[in-house]
Amino acid sequence: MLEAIGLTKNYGEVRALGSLDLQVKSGEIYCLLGANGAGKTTTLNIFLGFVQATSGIARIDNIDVSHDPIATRKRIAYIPETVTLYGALSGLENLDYFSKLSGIKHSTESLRGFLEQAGLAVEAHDRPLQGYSKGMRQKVGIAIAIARDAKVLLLDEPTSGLDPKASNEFSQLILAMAERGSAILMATHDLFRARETGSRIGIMRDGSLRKEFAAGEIGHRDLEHEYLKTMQEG
Amino acid sequence: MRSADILLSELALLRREQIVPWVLVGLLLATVFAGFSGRMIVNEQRAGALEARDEARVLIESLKRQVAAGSETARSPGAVAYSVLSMPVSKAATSLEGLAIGQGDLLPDTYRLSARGTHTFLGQIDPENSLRLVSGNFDVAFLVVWVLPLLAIGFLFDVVVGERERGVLSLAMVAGASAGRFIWHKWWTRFLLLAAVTTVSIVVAAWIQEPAWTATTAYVLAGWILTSVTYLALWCALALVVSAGAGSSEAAATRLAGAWLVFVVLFPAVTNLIAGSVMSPPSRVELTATLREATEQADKAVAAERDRWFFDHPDLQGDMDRRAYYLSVARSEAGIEKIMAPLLEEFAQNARDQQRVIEIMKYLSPGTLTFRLLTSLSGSDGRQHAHFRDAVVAYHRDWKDFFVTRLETDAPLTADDYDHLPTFVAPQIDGRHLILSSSVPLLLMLALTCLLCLLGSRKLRSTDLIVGAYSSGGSR
Repeated sequence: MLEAIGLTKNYGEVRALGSLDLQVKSGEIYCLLGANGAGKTTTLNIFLGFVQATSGIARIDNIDVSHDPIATRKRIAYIPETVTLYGALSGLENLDYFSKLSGIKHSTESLRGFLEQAGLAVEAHDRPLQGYSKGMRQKVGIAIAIARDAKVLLLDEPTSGLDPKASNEFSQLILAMAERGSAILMATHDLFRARETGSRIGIMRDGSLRKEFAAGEIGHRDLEHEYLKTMQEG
Repeated sequence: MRSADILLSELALLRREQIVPWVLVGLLLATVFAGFSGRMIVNEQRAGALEARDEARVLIESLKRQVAAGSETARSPGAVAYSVLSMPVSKAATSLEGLAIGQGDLLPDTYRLSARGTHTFLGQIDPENSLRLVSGNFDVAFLVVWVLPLLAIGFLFDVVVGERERGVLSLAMVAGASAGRFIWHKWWTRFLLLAAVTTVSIVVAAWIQEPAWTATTAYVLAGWILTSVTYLALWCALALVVSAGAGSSEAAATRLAGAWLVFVVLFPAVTNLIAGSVMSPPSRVELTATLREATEQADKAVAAERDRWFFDHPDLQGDMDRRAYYLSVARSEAGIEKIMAPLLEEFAQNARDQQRVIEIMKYLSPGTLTFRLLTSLSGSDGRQHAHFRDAVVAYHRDWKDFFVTRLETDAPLTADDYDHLPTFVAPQIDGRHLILSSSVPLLLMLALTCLLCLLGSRKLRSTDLIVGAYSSGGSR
C-alpha cells in the first residue's frame, strides 16, 4: 500500500534522508520514532508530495508519488501536528469545508456521523473551533480523514500536546481505522503510544532507519532501551 | 472544488470572522464622515467666494447708478480702480473637490484684486510645500492613502503563512487543491470584497458632495475608483508576497506594518522635508522689508514729481486734481511692482521647484503617488493652483489696463464701461484630460502590482511553501 525504496533527500549538502526502505501494508500501523531532525517529517512530506525526493521511489497504492502526486493524494488522508483549522467555523463546518475541497459533498447527517466516529461529542459539533481543546481538534482532523475514506493515513506527531486520556482515545481511533483496512504511517516521539498502537516500529536517526521491530516482539522497557541506545550510537 | 465554491466558502468564512463585517462597515462610515468633512470645507470656501462676488456685483450696479446720477467718484477711473472697486476671482472647482481637499485650505481659491500691483494679492500665496500628507485634512483621500493599506494588511497578512500555521494549506493540498489556486482564490475573495466596499464608499462620498453629474464628474469619479482600487491591489499584492515568504504570521504582520510606515509615513515626510529644506522659499521677512522699501522709494519718486508739478503750477498749490493724483498713484504702484516683481518671481519659482521635486519623488512612495493622483483628479493639487494663479495674473493685467488706459486718456467711466468690465474666465478642468494625465502613474502602479503578483505566484509554486513551517521549526 505504502512503499519507500532507497528514498533519499538532500537539502544542499545536508542529508535529511538516506536510502530509506519502508513498507506499510493495508491494516498496518507503522510508527516512526526518532529525535528532531531524524528524517521522520521529511519521509511524510515525500509521501505527501510536498517535497521531491533526491533519489529513490515513494509509492502509494503502487503509484509513484513523483509521477502522479494528484492521484496519490486522492488515496491519502493526513493529520499534521497542529490541526488549528478555522477557529470561527464549527467542527461540522470545518469538516464540510474540507470535504468540499476534496470534491465530496456529504449530507449534514453523514458529516455528523463522521464526527461521532471520530469521537467528538454531539454537543460540540456546532460550536466554533476556537473553543476546542487540542484533542477535540485532532478528532476533527480524524473526521476529515474518515470522510475522505482514504486508504492511507499519514500522521505527523498527532499525539503531541494531548493529555493521556485524549491520547488514548486517539490511539483507539487509529486502531479502528487500521481495522477498516487503512495503511497508517505515524511519525511520533511517544514511545509508549507507538508500542501500544503500532503494528511495527522503526527507529530513525540522521535520516536512516536504524532499527525495526514488530510491536508484539518488544516490550515498553526494551523499546525505550533500544531507542536510547540508538540515539547514543556514534 | 469549483472556484465559485471556494469563493463562497471564503466569503462565509469572512462573515463568520466577526470583526470583518464591522471593519468594512467602519470603512464605509469613516468615508461618509470624510465626505461630509470635505464637503463642509469646500462649501465654506465656495460660500466665501460667492459672497465676495455678490458684494462686487452689488457695488458695480451701485456705481453704474451713481454714474447716471453724475457722481464724480463713480466716473473717475482712478478712484474706482485704486480706491473703490476690487474684483474677487475664484478658481473653478470640480464637483468632487470635497473628496480631496489637498491644498485647498493652504492656497487661496479666491483672490481679491484691484488695479494695484500684483504683490497686493499674490502675497497671499503660502509658499509652503504642497504635500501635506502628514498633517492632511480628514478627507476621503486621507482615508484611501492611509487607511486602505492597513485594511489590506489586516485582511491578507496571513493569507499564506496563516493557512500554513493552521495546518489548512497542507490539508487543502492533500484534499486535492493546488496550493497556488487555493491561496489565489482566498486572495481574490478578500481583495474583491475590499475593492467593492472601497468603490461603494467612494461613490457614496461622491454623492454626498451633491455634484453636477456631468461627463467631467463621471471621469473624475472613475479616476478616483481606478486609482484607489489599484492602490489597494498594490498593498494586497505586497501582503501576498510577504505572507508567502514569512516564517510566521507575526513576522509577516511586522514586515507589512514596517512597509506601511516607510511608504505611507516616512517617504512622504522625507519628501516634505527635502522639498521644504532644499527648495526653501525666500524669507518672508525679506518680502515684507522689500515691499516697505519699494513703497517708500515709489512714494518718494512720486512726491518729488508732485513737488515739481506744483512748482510749475504755483496757482494750484494745495489743490491737486483727482486725475493727477491717481496718475501719481498709478506710477507709484508701477514702481512698487517693478521692484517687487523679482522677489515675487522668486517665490513663484520656488513653488515650481518644489512641485518639480515632489513630481519626481512621488514615484518613491505609492502613498505619495496616490495622493497626488487623487488631488489632481479633484482639482486641488498645486499644479492646478499654479494654472489658476497664472490666469489671475493675466486677468489682473487686463483689469489694470482697462482703468489705467481711461485714466491716462482722461476718459471718464460710463455706464457702458461698467457693463463691459473685463471678466475672469477660470481655467476649466477637463475630466478626460485629468484621466489621461493620470494614466502613466496609474499604469506604473498597476505594473508594480502585476510584478508583485508574479512574484507571489512564484512563491506559491515553491516547495518551501508547505515545508517552510517545518524548516523554521527545525524538524526534518
